[in-house]
Amino acid sequence: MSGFGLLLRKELLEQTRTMRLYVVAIVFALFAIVSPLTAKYLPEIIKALAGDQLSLVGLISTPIIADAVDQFLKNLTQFGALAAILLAMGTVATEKDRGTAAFILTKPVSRAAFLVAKLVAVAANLLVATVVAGVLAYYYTLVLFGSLPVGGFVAMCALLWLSLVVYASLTFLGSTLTSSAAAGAGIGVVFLVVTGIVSALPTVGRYMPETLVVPARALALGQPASDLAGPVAVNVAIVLAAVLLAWLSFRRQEL
Amino acid sequence: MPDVAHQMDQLRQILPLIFPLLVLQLALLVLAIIDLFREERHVRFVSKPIWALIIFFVNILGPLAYFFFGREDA
Repeated sequence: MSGFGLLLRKELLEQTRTMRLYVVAIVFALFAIVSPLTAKYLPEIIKALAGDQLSLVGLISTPIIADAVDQFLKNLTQFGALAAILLAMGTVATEKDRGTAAFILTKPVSRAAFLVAKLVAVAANLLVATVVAGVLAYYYTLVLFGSLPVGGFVAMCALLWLSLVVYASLTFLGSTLTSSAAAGAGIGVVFLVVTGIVSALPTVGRYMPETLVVPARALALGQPASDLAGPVAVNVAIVLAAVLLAWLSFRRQEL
Repeated sequence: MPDVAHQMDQLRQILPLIFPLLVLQLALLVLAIIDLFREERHVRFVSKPIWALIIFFVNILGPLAYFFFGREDA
């Protein structure tokens, strides 16, 4: 992978120059802030709006710390998947379309380094955003509900990040196979839907990125997460397989 | 005077919740303005001065709208 360090620096510089790094981190941060606030105050808002007229008011339970974790995971998995697809959709396809990929590859850099640097930069962007979101979500949960085990919360964020990297890598594969960012995004969305459907199946479902939220939630709440190694290994394998397939296709492509 | 003390007490209670939001809003505003007034930046839909007004006066959503829709190469 000759030239990997140089290409990675170029990709990271691009993430900051285009402000993508900051914008994604800030949007993640907003979702992180909104999640515990929603968990805390939504029942009160519903009660205030409904008054005595809504018979369901009695069914609205008092918010607990698990609600904050649930809201955070729900918001970040939904928006995070979208962000991962948006970040990865044009990584390779746009450069092929503009001809900049051909230009860069005339330099002494390998095609593998070109591909891996792009995915690592997207993963780094998602990591920064997840860390910012995690810190803010923890702070707001602490202020509104009380403390959570720090180690478990960090583990939850790590699992959340892994699931986002899986979506990014599948979209990245789509972006490598096609010459259009939109087609790359389309392939990413198809993978998102497919993994969503498979996650509902009884045996294989627990290995899908969507299902990582189950052990993530347990860890954040300080509960034991049963069978964590299998799903983590499978998700890492999906990322590696996507990179390998992308490389097998890209090394034979005429640019 | 007790009213003022009560209001200050309320402010002190909600300040930990509001402060991070204020920081985020300020960060978004500064980043968007820096990006908008780059010489090579081309914008869509409306002119740069109008985007500047949107960024300044629409809290949080203004800068986000600029980043997602306003930049030509976004």
